[in-house]
Amino acid sequence: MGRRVPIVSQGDLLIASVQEELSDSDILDMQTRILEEVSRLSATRVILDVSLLDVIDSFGTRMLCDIAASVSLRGARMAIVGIQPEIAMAMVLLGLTLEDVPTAQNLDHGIALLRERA
Amino acid sequence: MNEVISSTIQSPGEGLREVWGWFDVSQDDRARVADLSPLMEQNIDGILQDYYSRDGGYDHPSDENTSGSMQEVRAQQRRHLLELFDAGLDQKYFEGREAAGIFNESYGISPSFYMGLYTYAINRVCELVQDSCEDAAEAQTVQRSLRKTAACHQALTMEAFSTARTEAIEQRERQLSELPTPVLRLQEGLLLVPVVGTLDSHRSRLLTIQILDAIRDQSARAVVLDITGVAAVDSMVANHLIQTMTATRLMGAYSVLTGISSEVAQALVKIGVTGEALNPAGDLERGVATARKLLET
Repeated sequence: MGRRVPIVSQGDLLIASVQEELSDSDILDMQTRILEEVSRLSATRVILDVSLLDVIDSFGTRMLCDIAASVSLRGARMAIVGIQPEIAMAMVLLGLTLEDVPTAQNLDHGIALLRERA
Repeated sequence: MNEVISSTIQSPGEGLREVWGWFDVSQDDRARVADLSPLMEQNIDGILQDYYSRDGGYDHPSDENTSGSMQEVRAQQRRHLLELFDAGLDQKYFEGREAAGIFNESYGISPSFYMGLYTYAINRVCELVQDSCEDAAEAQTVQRSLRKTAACHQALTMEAFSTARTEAIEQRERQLSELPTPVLRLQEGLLLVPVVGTLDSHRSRLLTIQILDAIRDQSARAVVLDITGVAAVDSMVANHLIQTMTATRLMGAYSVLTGISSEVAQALVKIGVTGEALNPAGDLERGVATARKLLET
């Protein structure tokens, strides 16, 4: 099941890119794997790419916040990139604003953003 | 005799019966007024003609100058006056009053003008009744019935008039609130959104979607939201603005709010909205400058 979200690494940068709509267990699985990879590769920067996602439920949005928070507890910074209009709308209406998580439009901007904040 | 006549008149609807009750119009009153119908039909054109040709009666007294719409107004008035006499007490009559009210509203016939014509016509008919009746007591009874019925008739029309007016105002307000908001591209990656009118939840939802779509389609990295044209900002509107700007940030774009007037600023502080959430920048000029600076970083 873990194959659904490929996680690639480049130096101390981890990139997890969501390919399709994920079930609740898929999201939990993704969280576990990201955290494992962060410690295994001692990554300091994580980028979660959700640009292929155009539907998300309340659990999914909450998990995005949780993943970011747990990554920062492991000593890395995380950015979420490629949030689509529909998802942005849904998150705002659910009251999840990702206050502490940097967001960017695409991978390039996301990488630049994390480098800036280093 | 009265029984025969009232059996020919259809029984009124429940709501209508109530209105007749308020004006103390009995079936006998209606029957007496209905009896006047032939008299009215004979004289209506003369009455209308007299009304319009009097000094101070109307601005356009001569027939030659009456435009098409004025003729239509007069035709309608003639019909409405006749309805007072020959219409039954049924739903159709009630709808007729409603149509008259809506007609007056749409043609801009003021209530006073309408009432003036009606009062004039009713007085004229009363004179006719006076002349044609030998028995003074009977004439008085008929006149009283006529006045009561006419008052009720006018009240129904006025009520329909005000309903139609309210609807027209509501419709105009709706049109105003649905004014489209353009999302303008100021330069590459920089969008300008001038909001004009009232922001309700429906419109602000549309606005947010528009802005988000534009950010995605044009890969914009900064949005300047100008609310100079928004008259009033209450807590709901402020909430909508914050939601829009949060959604913008989630998409990875900066947003700057400009055009906050001193009244709006005071209102915002009163409802506990601080500057940080809105990222404000004095006027549009400074807002655009701020956005450009953000783009460069």
